[in-house]
Amino acid sequence: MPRVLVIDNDQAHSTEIADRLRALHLTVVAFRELSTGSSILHDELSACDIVVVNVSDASQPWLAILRRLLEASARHSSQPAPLFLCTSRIKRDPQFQLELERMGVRFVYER
Amino acid sequence: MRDSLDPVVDGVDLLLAEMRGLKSQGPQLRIVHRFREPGMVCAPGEEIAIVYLVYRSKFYPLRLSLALRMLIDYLAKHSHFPQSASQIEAGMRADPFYVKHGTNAMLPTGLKRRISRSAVKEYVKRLRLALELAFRDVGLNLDPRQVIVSEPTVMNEVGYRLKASVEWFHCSTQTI
Repeated sequence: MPRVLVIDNDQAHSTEIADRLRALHLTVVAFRELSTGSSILHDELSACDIVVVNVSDASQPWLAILRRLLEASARHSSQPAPLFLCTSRIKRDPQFQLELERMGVRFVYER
Repeated sequence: MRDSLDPVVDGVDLLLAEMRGLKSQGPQLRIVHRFREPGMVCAPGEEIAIVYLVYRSKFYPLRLSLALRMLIDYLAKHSHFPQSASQIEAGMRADPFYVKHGTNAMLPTGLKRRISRSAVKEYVKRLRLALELAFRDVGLNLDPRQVIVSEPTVMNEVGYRLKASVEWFHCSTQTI
């Protein structure tokens, strides 16, 4: 069963996403901690197939955080590294979206 | 009825489809042959002009020399079983496509390379490096050793196999 890691500092929102994804028969692990130094997060990054990151909080340096997450998720095994999806409830500038695209990260707006 | 989280669920669905494709078929490559003669496809005399990584509908050229383009084309055409360096050399020497590579271009110096058994291991390393650079450019977090796969035998011989979804594109003229 595919494993999805949800990184979201908004607990209610994170729970809502996790519930929706579990309904699709996916294994979901939610994480509020953004420190990539965390060994638990590192282990989860190594084990999951998809990473969903809520980038709605504009005060966070998301591009730098995502670069670190991508580096931490890089693997040298028989399995491909996880694919990333960013979600936002607030409008982000096009440059931000272009940077995400260059990193291979997909981006969606919640309506 | 759709709600505000539907784009997230749809996005995850899309990534799952992408992930399954990468796991089962590997990345998508497009190999371009030019100097095709009318009515011919993959015929001797054509040139392997360029190899692209195709990712999310965009084309990224792999930085490959002539010998590496020939090797990846050969591995792509024989991806159903792993081949040792000796088998690769023998296969390429026996195939008129590689023996007469690029002769339709009518160049006095030719566009040929002979791939020797001893060079294959080094060429495989360089192919992986070119793939790694392309993966980095596109943001695809994939290990090139999962694409140019080394498969050990019960002896010390290693077989090489390309795990990728490959399509060939042909140009009749010199243009790409």
